[in-house]
Amino acid sequence: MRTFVVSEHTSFQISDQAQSKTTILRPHNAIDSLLHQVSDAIWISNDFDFLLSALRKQPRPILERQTHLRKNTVLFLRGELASSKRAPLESLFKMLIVAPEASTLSLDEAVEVFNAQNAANLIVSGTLNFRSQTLALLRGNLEKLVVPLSAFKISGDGVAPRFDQFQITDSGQTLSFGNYEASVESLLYEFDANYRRQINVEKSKTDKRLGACLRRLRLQKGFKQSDFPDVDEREIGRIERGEVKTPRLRTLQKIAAALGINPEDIQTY
Amino acid sequence: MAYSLPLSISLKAQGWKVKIRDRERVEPPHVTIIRGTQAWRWSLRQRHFLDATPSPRQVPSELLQLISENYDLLVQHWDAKYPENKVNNSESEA
Repeated sequence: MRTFVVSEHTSFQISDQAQSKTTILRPHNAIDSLLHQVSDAIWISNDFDFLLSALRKQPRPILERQTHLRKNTVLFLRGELASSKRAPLESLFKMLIVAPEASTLSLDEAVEVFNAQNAANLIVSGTLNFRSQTLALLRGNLEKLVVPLSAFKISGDGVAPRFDQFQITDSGQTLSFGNYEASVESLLYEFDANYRRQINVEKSKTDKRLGACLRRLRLQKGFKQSDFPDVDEREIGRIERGEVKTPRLRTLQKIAAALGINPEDIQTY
Repeated sequence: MAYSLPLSISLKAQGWKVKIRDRERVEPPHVTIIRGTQAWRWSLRQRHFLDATPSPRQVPSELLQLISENYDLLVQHWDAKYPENKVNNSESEA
C-alpha cells in the first residue's frame, strides 16, 4: 500500500512515502486527484482540522461528491476526533482509524511501519480496555491483535507493568508500560497461531520435536513441570527429554487443557 | 526495567539497540538487537543468531564484539528476569 502523509509542517504538504524519497506534491488537485487515482493507500494525519481544511480547499469540493471515492483507502488519524466530526471522513475513506497520540507511534514511525516488509509483526497503536482487561493492538497490516492484560506478568526482577503509562516504542517492536517493556514478537508468538506457523517454516534448523515444543510452550506460559494437576511431573520431564516420543492422546489433552490450548497446537510452539 | 546494553555513540547514532525486555520469548534465552523495524535474536546459550532473517550480516561486528565483551553481564540480566529459565540451566529439567 502507498502511504500519504497529510501534515501541517508546511502550508500544504502531502508526502508520498511509496517513492524512495519523500515527494512534496503540488497543493492544487493533490488530495483530490490522489483520492481518485490511488485505490490502495493509507493516508496518515495527526491533525483532523488541518486535514479537513485541506480537503475543503480543493478546487472542487470533494466532500460534496464523495460516494465514489470509497475505494481501498484508509485514513489513520493520530489524535482525538469528536464523533460528530467522523461522518465526512467516514464517507471519504473505506476505513477510518483514530488512535490517541499517547498510545500511537509518531507520524514518522507510523509511516515507517506501514511501509515495512514485516508490517504485520509491528504495532502501530493500542487501546487498553480495563473493563475487559484486554489490550487491542493495531498491526502494521491493519489487522488487530487482542491480548489479555494478564499476559504481562511481573518480571523475575520484580518490574511490574504500569498500564497507565502505555506507549509503543522501538518502531512498533516494543510495548512500554512505565519501566516494564514487552516484546511484540513474544505476544505474536503466544497469541497468533498464523505467526507461529510462519516462523515454524523459517526455523527448520531448530528443534521441532514434541518435547522441545512442549518445553518452549510451558516456559512461555510460566508453568513448572509440577504445575500440571493431572499429569505427573516426571512424565512431563520424560516427554520434554524425548524419552516418550508419542505420549498418549489423553495425556496430551490434559497437558493442553492446563495450558489453555488445543492439543494439536502444542507442536506449533 | 528492561535492560539496554550501553552502546558507543556511533552505534547509537546509527539506531542500534541491544535489549533484554521484561517480556520476551522465554526459550531459548537471548538478547534482542534492534534497529528500526528490524530485530535479531542472539542466543545466550549457543552464542549465535537464532534466526536466518533478517540477515545476521547486517549487524556490525563492533556491536557483536560489544555483546561478547559484556556476555556475563547480559547473562546476569537474563537470569534475573527469567529465573525459571536461566542461561546455564540444562536443556531439560529433571
